[in-house]
Amino acid sequence: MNQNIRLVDVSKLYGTSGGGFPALKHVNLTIPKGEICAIVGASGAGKTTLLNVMSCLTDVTEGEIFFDDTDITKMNGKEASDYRLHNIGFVFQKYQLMPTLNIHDNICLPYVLAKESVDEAYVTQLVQNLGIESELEKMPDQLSGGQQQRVAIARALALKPSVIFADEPTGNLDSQNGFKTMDLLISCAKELGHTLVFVTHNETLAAMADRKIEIVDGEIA
Amino acid sequence: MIKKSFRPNRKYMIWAMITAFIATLIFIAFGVILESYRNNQLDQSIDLYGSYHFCFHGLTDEQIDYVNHHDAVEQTALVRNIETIGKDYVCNCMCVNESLFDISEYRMVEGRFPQAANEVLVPRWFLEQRSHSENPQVGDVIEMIDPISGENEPKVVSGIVCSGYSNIRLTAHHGTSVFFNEDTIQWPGEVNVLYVRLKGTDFKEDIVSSLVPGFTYESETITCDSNDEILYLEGITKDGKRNMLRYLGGYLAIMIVTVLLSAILIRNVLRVMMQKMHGIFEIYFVLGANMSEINRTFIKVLYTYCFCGELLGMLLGLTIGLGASGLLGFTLYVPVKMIAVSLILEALFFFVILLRVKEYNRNIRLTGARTIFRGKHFMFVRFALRNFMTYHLKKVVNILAIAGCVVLLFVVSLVVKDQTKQQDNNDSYDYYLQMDLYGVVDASTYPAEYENLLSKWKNVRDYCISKGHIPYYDAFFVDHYDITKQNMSKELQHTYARTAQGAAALARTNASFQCKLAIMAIGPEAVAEMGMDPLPEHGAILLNRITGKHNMEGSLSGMEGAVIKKEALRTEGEPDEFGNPNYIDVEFQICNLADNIPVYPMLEEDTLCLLIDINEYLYLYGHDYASSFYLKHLTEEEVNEIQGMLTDQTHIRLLNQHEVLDDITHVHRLMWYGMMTMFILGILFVYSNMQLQNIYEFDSRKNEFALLNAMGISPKMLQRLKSLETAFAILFGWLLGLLLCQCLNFVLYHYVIVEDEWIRLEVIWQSAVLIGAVSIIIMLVSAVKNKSSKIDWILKEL
Repeated sequence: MNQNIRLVDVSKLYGTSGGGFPALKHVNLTIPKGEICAIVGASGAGKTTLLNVMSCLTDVTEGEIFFDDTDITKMNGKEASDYRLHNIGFVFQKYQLMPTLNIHDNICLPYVLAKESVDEAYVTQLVQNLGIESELEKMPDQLSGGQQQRVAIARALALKPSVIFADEPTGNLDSQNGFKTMDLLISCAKELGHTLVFVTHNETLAAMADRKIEIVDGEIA
Repeated sequence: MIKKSFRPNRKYMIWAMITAFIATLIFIAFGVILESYRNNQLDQSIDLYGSYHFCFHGLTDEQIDYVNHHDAVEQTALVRNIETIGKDYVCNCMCVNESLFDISEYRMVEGRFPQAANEVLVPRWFLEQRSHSENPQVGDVIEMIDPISGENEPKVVSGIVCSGYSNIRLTAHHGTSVFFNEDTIQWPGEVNVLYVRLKGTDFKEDIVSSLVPGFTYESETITCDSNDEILYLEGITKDGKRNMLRYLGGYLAIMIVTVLLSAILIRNVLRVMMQKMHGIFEIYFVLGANMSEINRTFIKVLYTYCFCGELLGMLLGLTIGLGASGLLGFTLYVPVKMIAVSLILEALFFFVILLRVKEYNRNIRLTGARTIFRGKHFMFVRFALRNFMTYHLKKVVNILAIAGCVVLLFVVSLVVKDQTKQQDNNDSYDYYLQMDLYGVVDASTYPAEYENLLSKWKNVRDYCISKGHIPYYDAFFVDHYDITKQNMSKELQHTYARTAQGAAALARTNASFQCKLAIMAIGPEAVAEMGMDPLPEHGAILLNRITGKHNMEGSLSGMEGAVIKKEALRTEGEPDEFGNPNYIDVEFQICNLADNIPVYPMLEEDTLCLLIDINEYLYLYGHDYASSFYLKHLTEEEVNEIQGMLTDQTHIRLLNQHEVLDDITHVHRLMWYGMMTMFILGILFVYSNMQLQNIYEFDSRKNEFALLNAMGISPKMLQRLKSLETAFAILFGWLLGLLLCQCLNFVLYHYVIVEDEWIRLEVIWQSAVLIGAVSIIIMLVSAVKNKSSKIDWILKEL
């Protein structure tokens, strides 16, 4: 089957009984494997929540989410962690690099967490593609924002996940750097055949995706 | 790699390490000092009374054989009474083997140990009594009962023996030992006495119980003699067990309180660390990390630091403990088992604390944008109190930490007080002419030695009187006396009520109270010095105070002219048919009441004193030996002169009391240094805890502070608000500490230290006031340190 992620009637309600706030309302969505998908919408529309439920960071209130026919909403904490580790790569707006690890160690962190030996050839190729091969011994605070985000992308791709989620990956970068970084992310994802789902406010960047999904008040427009 | 993520929090880990280090250091140093102190007492006791020994009566050959082959036994000596000699003074002539020579530390004056069956080794007085020669000497033949045949037989004196100085001499002082060659003695089926000296220092109760069925010290059915002092110090007798309980209790209390306090601090370090590392953990979480593994790594790293701190604390604690013990002049001992058990318990406790990491993690997630600012009328103090109720009362451990500090200082005060409660002589005398105990040099058994000793004593006494120095005699006999309650002032009653025993006795009786009464000897010179007439026969002076530091002037009233009757004292008259002196009751009439006497010798506490003339005292109590006495103001020449008179100082010696007092003062000073160290550590602990709490709260409540700031409260006011909250925590902790101390005090008073003085509330108040005052200072320092710029920074983080 060619489908990768399938959301069936997914709802997410924040808050306690009686006065909860609906972040997602009966969302149905299918993201085929290898698709580059941009999620756009106003602030508070539910973009990040959609990303979080797809990555098992947040439980759904209702509905099912299938990942290659596996319902990830039924997973327990440990299974969800395993699922994230081996299938999902994350890129954050604020990079979220470990300040105490050098660039190489930051990129290789997923290998450590997965208890796998580092695929040095792949990592070398990855850093060359991202143009950070000369920065491996440096610490995160010695790099520019754009460089740090490229390190975060390398880390996200390290274990060759099938899906990459990026939450406003260029939000902290200027437009030129943002464009370059997004271009790199998309080209890497395409080259490796990964699915890429990213959240953005920028229409230009959204236009770079294969598909644009707009969310309005928790519903897909 | 994961471990590297903890690097930014290394300072907190070091903080935890130092906490574990200090806690371990405190209780180990304390344990070493206590153990050295106890063992020092034990060594002194062994020096004074001899090694461990037991004296059994009427044993069978099988029992003797059992003892001789017991692994724990180092040496045995056999003694059998072969005849009773003397009329005025009954003396048992005992047949003994060579082992007793060593155990009792006898001295060979001349000749040699018997080598043949017909040879004996005897004391000089025995030889003089038995020999028919005008000039008795070694080689003479004397008549005495043979231990095998039981008949009078001629024996050749192979040598002269002189008494030794040990506890065995005391237990056997009513006899004289005649030594036979052991090879020639066939001990009959039963021996009179078997002395046993044990190897090492471990008491072997199984030996005693196997030889004396049903033997128990607690039921006081003692059918064998032993070194009571050692048994007491080893915690074997009933009193000894109580003493050991106090000793162990003191150590355990300090250990538990320090470990608990350090655990609270480590817990707070942990909370702050988890708070700081929340972001890092979130990244790991999102990346799909196994959080339990991250937690485990975190625990491992932090535990390693704590464990290192514990080990370092152990090493430094041992060093400090041994150093302080050395300074105190104690022989050094390390309570290895006690330390090992304590360290294991501490390590386990820290581990349990660290295992709670998940809970802290969850708690941290629950904090967040919580605000309690809803009051219509803003009142700063009320608001701070409300914050305190919300945040601090739910985390009682922080309040307990401050309370724990007060309790810790209180416990240390108690132990120091217990160890330094030796009574001094109020600087009332400078020198002490010390005579050995009655029985060591017995007039009947060793007349020559006794005469020699008495002559030295008389020479010194006469010399002192001739130089205008008054001998203040140290002879007293403690008895009981019923005083009516109406004769006791409130102060006196209060003095007795300081002990649980005294309080109970006071409560039990409505009419009279039985108190201890020391009949003390006083010389005519001392009576004259007090400006009183010489004491008539059976006349006495009642010292109108309790011994100790409290002058209880007016504590007794209406006692002048009263008669105090003492039973069974020796008086003039014909001896009875057995030649024993005539014993009748004697009534002492109180001629005078005295508030003070010139010299206060060491006496038991809470004891009334009846002073009678020294010569009457010695006669009535049948002490035909001279008393030790105190002296004031001797010149250096006079001291040298007296030392010359005392020659080898055997059984009589002149002690400079200031040297003894210097040692006591030195010990007290070191104890106070120890207390001050504990106090400073307590301050550091309170400070650390407050800082951690502040760091934690500034972080976890930043949303709340930001909201307050947005509503117009300046960072400076926020700082004041936080300080006020801390002040409430201090106040509550302080009050709780006081309450706990009072509870502890109550328990100790009523259930543990029944014979000790009631621990006065001042001790608790002093500890509490000190800790409270310093805590306030710390709070102010802490407030200054958490200056408003820091709050600004927190607000910008939002």
